[in-house]
Amino acid sequence: MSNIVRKSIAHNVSFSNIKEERFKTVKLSVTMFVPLAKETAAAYALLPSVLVHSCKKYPTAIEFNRELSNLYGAGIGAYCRKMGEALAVTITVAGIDDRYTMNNEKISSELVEFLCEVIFNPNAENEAFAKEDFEQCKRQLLEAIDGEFNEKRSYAISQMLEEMCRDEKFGIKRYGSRKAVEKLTPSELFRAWKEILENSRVEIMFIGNSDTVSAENIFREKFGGMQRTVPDISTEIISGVGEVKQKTEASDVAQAKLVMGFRTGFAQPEYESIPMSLTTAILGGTPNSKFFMNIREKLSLCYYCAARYDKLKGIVTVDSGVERENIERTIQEVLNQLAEMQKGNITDFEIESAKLAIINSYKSALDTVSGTEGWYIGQMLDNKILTVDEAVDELKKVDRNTIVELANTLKLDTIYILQPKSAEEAEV
Amino acid sequence: MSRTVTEEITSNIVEDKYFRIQHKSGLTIYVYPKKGFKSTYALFGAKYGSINTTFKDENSTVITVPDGIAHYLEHKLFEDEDGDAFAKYAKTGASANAYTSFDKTCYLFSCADNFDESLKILLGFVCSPYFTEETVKKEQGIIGQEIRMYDDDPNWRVMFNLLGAMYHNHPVKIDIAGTVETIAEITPQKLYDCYNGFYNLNNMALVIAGGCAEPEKIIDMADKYLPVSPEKNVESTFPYEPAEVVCDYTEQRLAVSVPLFNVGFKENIVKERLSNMEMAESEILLSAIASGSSELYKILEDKGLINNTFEYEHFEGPCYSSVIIGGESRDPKEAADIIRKYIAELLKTGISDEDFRLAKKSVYGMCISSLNRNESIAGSIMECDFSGREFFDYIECVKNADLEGVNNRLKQQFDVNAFSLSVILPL
Repeated sequence: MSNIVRKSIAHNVSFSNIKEERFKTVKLSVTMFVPLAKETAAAYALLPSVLVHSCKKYPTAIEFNRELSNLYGAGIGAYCRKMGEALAVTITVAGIDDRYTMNNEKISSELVEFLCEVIFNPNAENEAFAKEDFEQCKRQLLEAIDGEFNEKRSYAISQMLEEMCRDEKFGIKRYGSRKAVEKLTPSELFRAWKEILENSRVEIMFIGNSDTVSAENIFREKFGGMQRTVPDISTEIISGVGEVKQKTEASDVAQAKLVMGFRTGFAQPEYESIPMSLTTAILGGTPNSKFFMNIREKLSLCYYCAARYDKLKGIVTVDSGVERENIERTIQEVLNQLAEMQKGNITDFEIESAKLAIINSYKSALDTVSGTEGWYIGQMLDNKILTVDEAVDELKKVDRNTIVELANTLKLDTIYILQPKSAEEAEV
Repeated sequence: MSRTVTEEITSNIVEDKYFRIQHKSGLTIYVYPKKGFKSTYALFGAKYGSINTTFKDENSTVITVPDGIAHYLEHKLFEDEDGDAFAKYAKTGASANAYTSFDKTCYLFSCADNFDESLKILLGFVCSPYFTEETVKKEQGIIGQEIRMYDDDPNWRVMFNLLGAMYHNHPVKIDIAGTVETIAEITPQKLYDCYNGFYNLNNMALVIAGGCAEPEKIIDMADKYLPVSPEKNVESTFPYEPAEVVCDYTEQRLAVSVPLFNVGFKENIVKERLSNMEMAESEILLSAIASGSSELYKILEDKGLINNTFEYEHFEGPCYSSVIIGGESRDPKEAADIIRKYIAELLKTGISDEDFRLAKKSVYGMCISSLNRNESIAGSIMECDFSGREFFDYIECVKNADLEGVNNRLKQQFDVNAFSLSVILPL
C-alpha cells in the first residue's frame, strides 16, 4: 500500500513522495492551481501544450519527441482542467522504472531533468515563446475548441453548465473563449508562464520506486528562488434557484441529448462531500441506481442516464441520450425518481449497494498510477485530504436520514436539450 | 473426463509470472498474481464476436444469424431466471461490465473485497443462459439507443465507413451492434443457437489478474462452479476476401464542426492470425512511421493538417489485418495524399537504423508500462489466447526485433494500391 510523504519545499509549493514498488513505471507530476478568470483562462489553457511542444534544450517538436522515445517511450502529459472555479494546469512525465531498461540505463533521473527543462527552460527568447511552437499549439487548441461539437455527450454537458452558470465564474470555459485564444500573442503567453510559476499553488507528486532527493532539490531551488505569492482560490456556491432555465438547440443528430443541472448548495471545502456523492450514486451512479433500474431497465428509454456530483461547485448533472419523442417523458421520469428519494422511498438494498460500489472504487484507486495521482490531486482543494481508509469510514457513517435530507437539497436549475430536427425540419 | 493441468509461465524481462491452467471442464484459465494489489480483475470471454455471423453447427448445417446478435447476447446474458447479475454484484461491490468486439465477447468485474463471491456470480451467469420473448423484446429500446449514440459518433462512423471501403466480404465491416432493423429480427431461439454454438468452455478463456489471483483457489472454484463442456468444434466460416479494396474513397456528411479522416492500408494475409514477431514488428514499424517522433508526423503537423487527435493502429483479427491512421484534419484529402506518398517512398528506402532504434525502445517501454494494470494484463492475455500467441513472448519479440525484420514487415504490410480514405465532413 502506498505511503505518502508530503512536505513544503517553497512558499506554497508542496512535494509529495509516494513510494511504490508495485508499479513498473515512475511518474512525476506538477500541478499549478490558479483562480479561473475570463482574462487569463485562454493563456493558461494554451500554456501546457506549448511547454511540451519543445523546449530550449530540444527546440523542435521532432527533437523533443525523439528524446522521449529514447527514454523508452516516456510519456509527457500536459493539460488544463477546471476544478471548481480554479484551473489546474498539470505537466507530467512518466516512464519505465530503471529496473526494466534493456541495457541497465538509469533513466529516472533523466526523466526528472526533462520535466524541469520543460517547465523552467522553455523555448523562448526576448520574453516571448518561439513563434512556430506558439502558432502550432494555438491552431491545435482552436481546432480542439471547434471540435467540441463532434463529441455530442460532452458538448451537451458543457452547454448546460455554461447556460446554468452564465453569471458565475464557473460558466467560464477552461480556455476562456475562442476569441480570447485567437487574440493571444507569444509575449502574453510568456507573461502567463512567469505569472503561473510565481503566483499559484503548486503540488508536485512523485509516484514510484526511485530516489526523489534530487528531484526535490531541483524544485526547491527553482521555486525557492522566486518571489512567490499566493492567489485566492475559492468557488462561489449558490443554493437557491429561480424559474427553471431551458435551452434547446436543434441539430441534425440521430439521438437527442438531455442534460439537467441541479444545485445543492453543498460543496467542499465547507461541507464534507462524501454523503452527497453517495446520494448521487443512489440516484444515477451505478447499475443498481434509480435511473438505471427505472429509466433504462424498466422503461427502455435510454442506454445511459447518469447523475454526477461536482463536489467543488455543489452541482449535480444528470444526462441521457434518448429518442426525440421521449425527451419530455425522460425529464418527468428523472424528476419522479428524485421525488421518490426526497420522500424517503429508498430501499436498504439501494443504499448498501451504492456504498459497496463506492468503497470498491476507493479501495481500487491506489492500484493504478493515475488513480493514485487522482486520489490526492482531486482532494487538493478540499477541506482535508483523506486516506482511502478514512474515506471508507466517512462513507459507512452516512445514514438514511442524511441521504433523504441531501436529496431534498437538489433544486432543478437548468435543462439543456440537443434536439434532432423533426422529419419536416430536416427536409428544409 | 480429462484432468486439470497447470503450467507456470515466467518472463525473462520482468519478475512477473502467471499460470496457465487447462481446466478439466474444457476452460483455459490464466492466473496472474499482482502482489500488494488491493483489487482483482476477472475477465471471462468467449471467442465469439460480431464477425461470427456465419457458422456450422454440430450437424454441419450452415447458420447465418442477424448482424449485431453477439452484442445483443452479451446484454441478455446478464439476466438469469433468478434475476439480474448486476443485482447480485450489488451485494459484493464489484464493478462489473461487458463488451463485444469483432472477435470476442467478454464479461468482467473488478473488486477490492468479496472476490470469491464475485467470481461465483461471473461464472454462474455466463454459464446459464435465460432468454424469453419478453426479456429479449425489452432490450430493443436500450440497444436501439446505444446504436443511435454510435450513429452520432464521428470517430465510430469514420472507421466503419473505412472498413466498408476496404472489405468486400469480410464481416469485420459490419457494425458491432448491428442496426435497429437487424436487431429487430433477434429472437430467443436465435440467441440460444449462438450461445450453444460458441459459449462452450473449450471456446472460452478466463483471466484473473490482481491481488487475489491464486491458482489453487481459482482451480477450486472452477471445480465447484463450472460444468464440464463436451468437446465440440464450432466452425466460423469467413467468405473469400480479395486483396484489393472496394473503393479508395468514401465520405459521409454528419453534424460535426471539424472534418475527420481515416486512411487504411489493407494487408493481403494468407493465414488466420499473425505471429507474435509479426505483431511486434508491426508495432515498431508504426511507431517509426507515425508517432510524434516521426518525419511523417512532422510534415503533417508543420502543414497544419493534423492535431493531437492524430492516431494510428494495427487493426488485426481473424483473417484481417490493416493499418489505420487518422484524426481530425481541415483537409483530409491532402493529409491522406501525403501519407500515401510517404509510404510509397518508404517502401523504396526502408526505415532507418536510428528510427528503428527509437521506435523499438518506445514500444518496449509501452509493453513494460502495460504491466502496471490488472485490466490491460487480462485483456492482453485474453487476446493472446484467442490468437494462439503467448503474452511474455510478445515482449521478447519486441526486444529481439531487428531492422531487417521490420523492413520486411513493411513490405508485407503496406501496399499503396490497397489503400482507402474515409472522410466525415460537416453538413
